[in-house]
This record gives sequence, C-alpha cells and structure tokens, in this order.
Amino acid sequence: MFTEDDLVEELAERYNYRKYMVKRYLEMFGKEETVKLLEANEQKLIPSLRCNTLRIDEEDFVTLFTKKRFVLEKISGISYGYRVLKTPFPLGATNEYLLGFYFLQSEASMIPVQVLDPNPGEMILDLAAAPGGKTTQIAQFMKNKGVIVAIDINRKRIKSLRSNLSRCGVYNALIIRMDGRQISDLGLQADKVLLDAPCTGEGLIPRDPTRKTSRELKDILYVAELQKSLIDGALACLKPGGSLVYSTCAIAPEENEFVIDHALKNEDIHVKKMDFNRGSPAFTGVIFGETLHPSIKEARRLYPHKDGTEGFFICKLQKDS
Amino acid sequence: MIMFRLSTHEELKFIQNAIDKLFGEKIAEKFIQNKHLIIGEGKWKEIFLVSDKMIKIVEAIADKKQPYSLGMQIGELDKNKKFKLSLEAVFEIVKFTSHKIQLTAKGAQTILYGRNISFSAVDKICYEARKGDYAILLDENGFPIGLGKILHDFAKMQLNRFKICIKNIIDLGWYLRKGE
Repeated sequence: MFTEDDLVEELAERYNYRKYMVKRYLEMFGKEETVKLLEANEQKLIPSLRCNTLRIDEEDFVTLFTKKRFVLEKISGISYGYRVLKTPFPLGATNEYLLGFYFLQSEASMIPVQVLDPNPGEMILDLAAAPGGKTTQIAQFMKNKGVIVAIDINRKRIKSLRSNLSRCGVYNALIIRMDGRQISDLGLQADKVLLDAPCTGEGLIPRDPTRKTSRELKDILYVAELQKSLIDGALACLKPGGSLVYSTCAIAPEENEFVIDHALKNEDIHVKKMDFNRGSPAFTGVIFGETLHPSIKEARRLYPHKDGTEGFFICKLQKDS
Repeated sequence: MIMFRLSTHEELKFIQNAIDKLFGEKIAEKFIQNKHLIIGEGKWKEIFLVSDKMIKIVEAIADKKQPYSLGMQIGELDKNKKFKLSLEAVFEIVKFTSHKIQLTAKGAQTILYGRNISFSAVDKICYEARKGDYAILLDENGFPIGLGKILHDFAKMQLNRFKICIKNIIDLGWYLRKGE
C-alpha cells in the first residue's frame, strides 16, 4: 500500500527537497497543490524592475528602454513596476542602472511598500532595511520629503544599503546600524513601519534552489522567535493609528501567521484589509497545532504556482492605541 | 567611531566657497538652500546635507545612537582640508551649473571604466572651459556620469585630439567597482 510517508519520500527525492519540507507542504496544501508548488519552483521567474522616479520621469524611462530594445510590461497594481520580458544586456550593468534609473526588484517584493503607502512628509521606520530595495521605493513614494529611519545590523549589507540609496538619489534616509530588536530604546514614534523581516527564504527556491536542502525545521523556529522580537519592537515605535506592514519571503506559517498571531495577542492592534487583490488569504484555523486568529485571513500569501512570483507573505496591521 | 555634529560657520563658508569655486557663483546657495550641513568626524570629515526634520530626529536619539549615514553625503574633507565632492552632489549640482561637458558614447564608456579621456571623446563643451577647471561630465544623452578636471586648454587640444585632456575625478562606475 502506498502511504503518505511513501509520497513524502517520492516527492522529496524527485524534486530534491528535505523530507520535512515536503511533509509540511502536504499538510498545508494537500497533494495536488504541493506537486504544483514543487513543479513551479523548478521554473525561472520573470525578472522585474522598478523605475526610479527620483532620477527619471517614468515616461522617459520607458521610451529610453524601448529604444534600447528592452521589452517591458507594466505590472498591474504596482506603481512604477515592470516585468522585463526581453533584455539585450544584463540588467545589473547598464549605464541606466548606474544612473539609478531603476532598481532590480522582484514583483512580490514591491508589494509591501505599495501596501504601506508612504507619503511625503511622514516619518517611516524601515527595519532590516539592507540592501535597500524597499527603502528606495519608500523614498520614491515620499518624493524624498519627510524622513525614513532605515535600520540594519549587518556591517556588509549596510554598506550596500548606503550605496544603493546614493545611486538612486535617496536623500531623506537616516541609516542606523543596530539590532532591530532594540529599536524601541530609541523612543521613536513613526507614522508607518515596514518590517520586511529576515526569514529562512523558503519562498525564494525558484531563485535559489540550494534552499531546498540548506535549512532545518529548527532554523525556521529560531528565525520565528527573532521575527516575534522584531515585530514587538516595531510596534512599540508606531504612533497610535499608524500602520505596520509585515512581510517575508517565507512559506512556513511559523514565520508568518504565527508572528501576526503573537502580535495580536500582545498588542492593541488589528489586521487591516489591504487595498490589494492578488494572492491567497493567509492561513487561519488550526495549523501545525496552533489556533490562529480569524482576522489573519486578511493577510495575503503569494506562490510561484498561483501568482508567478516567489513565495511571499504580507500583512498590514493598525495600532489602535 | 564617527561622531556627527552641525557644521561650524567657518566650515559652512569653506564648503560654500569650494562649491562656488568649482561650479560658479551662488551655486552653493542654490544647492544647499535651507538645509543644514552635518559633519561626520572620524579619520576624515564627511559632509551631509540634511533637512530640519532629520536634524530633530538625530538630536533626539544622539545620546543613544549615532547615525551610520544621513541625508545626502555631499563630499569629504581630507586631512589636508581638501574638499572632495560626492557623486550625489554632482547629480544635484548639474541642475544649477553651466560647467558641463558632453561626451561621445565611447567617451562616456571610458569615463565609466574609471579612465581619463582625450579631446576626441568630447562632443560638446557647454561653457568657456579653461585648464584647471572642474566640469560635470555628461553622457551622450545628457545625463551626468561624473566629474572631470580639465588638464589643458581645449583650443590647444584641437591640434592633438588623442592626448589625455580630462582627468577622471569621480564617476558612476564607482557603484560597480566599490559601491556594493
């Protein structure tokens, strides 16, 4: 008789995953969808970029790129976002890249800032900011007016954050090198907070197949604790009425819904419905032995097999008092 | 450790004069406008252009954390008090100055590789450039790509089009060579 253990073994072997991952996917998605996810993870994602209007007018950018024989397709619902369907040159080494006319950014990773909706004049806290894709996007939405407090702890990555901000003409960022878990020590009160949390990157398998075997379940649980500390610190720095966007490129509910559930239990906040209709509702009910708050369904998950993006999670929270 | 503080009146004047000397009268005023200069003081001095709102945040957290970087880094003052302009400043000052030289596509590429160029790489000189001047270098589409120092009078250079005439001071290729 063909048991579930046999199925786990077969799929793990066929797609070269660790068994615990396949077992968890089967519990989360069922057999049919798990196979679709594993299959989609084998396909390359369409590259994408964000036109940086701090450096060039969007219309001029499209004209310039079309003249250079790039084929671009506007991403619906994401300001300044384009899929790159044809590239005559590598995108990371053009003169236009050096001029800061665009930022190479995946489609899914443009969504958190779109949902955060930063405005000129606001004070935005950007935790785990390096290498700066989302920081430059925030500055673009703010038209370089107001202040972004960009936090990162990693010495090497913070250098690339600074370089990217410089290249993209971001002049309203205050970069601080520190552990984001201690952010509340600074006593800041931000209008909005972006926490694109460090994660195990399980959603990035289409870009990085080594992730199929590089992490254990204990790594997920370790990162989840870090994420809970980060969201606690981030919420302490948010003004009442202000909103926080939490995102990861992780698949595991421990790094996503569990973190939101933890925040809902401990803080005076609620999940906000997002003005964004892509992806699937996040998990609610009981999963991996945890009962999740029903309002978490308003958070969204994106998957390679359903959305053509890397695996991604986004949730918007509002602070009540 | 780098400590950040507001510039002194003397430092502000020194930097304003340095910018005006490079790019023409009143250029510093147009560039700095109502912002503040912050000095990051370590082995050398880094100069940042910062808004009022950002100054208030920096002051509020000063006893807990010093910034890593802030606002627009406009340049550095080395030990010999020599002012070195940043790429960010080049990008903004180009809006106000006439000290610009447009290059051919090949010339622009040479600059982006960090090299010096000859007169044959110059497409258009936008002002009366003289030996010793600094000028913002534009690519074939008119976008700023760096800063150069003019080594010879252009009138004489026409006779020897292949002799190096612009020294590369700073260029956008830095972002690939050292930036990330």
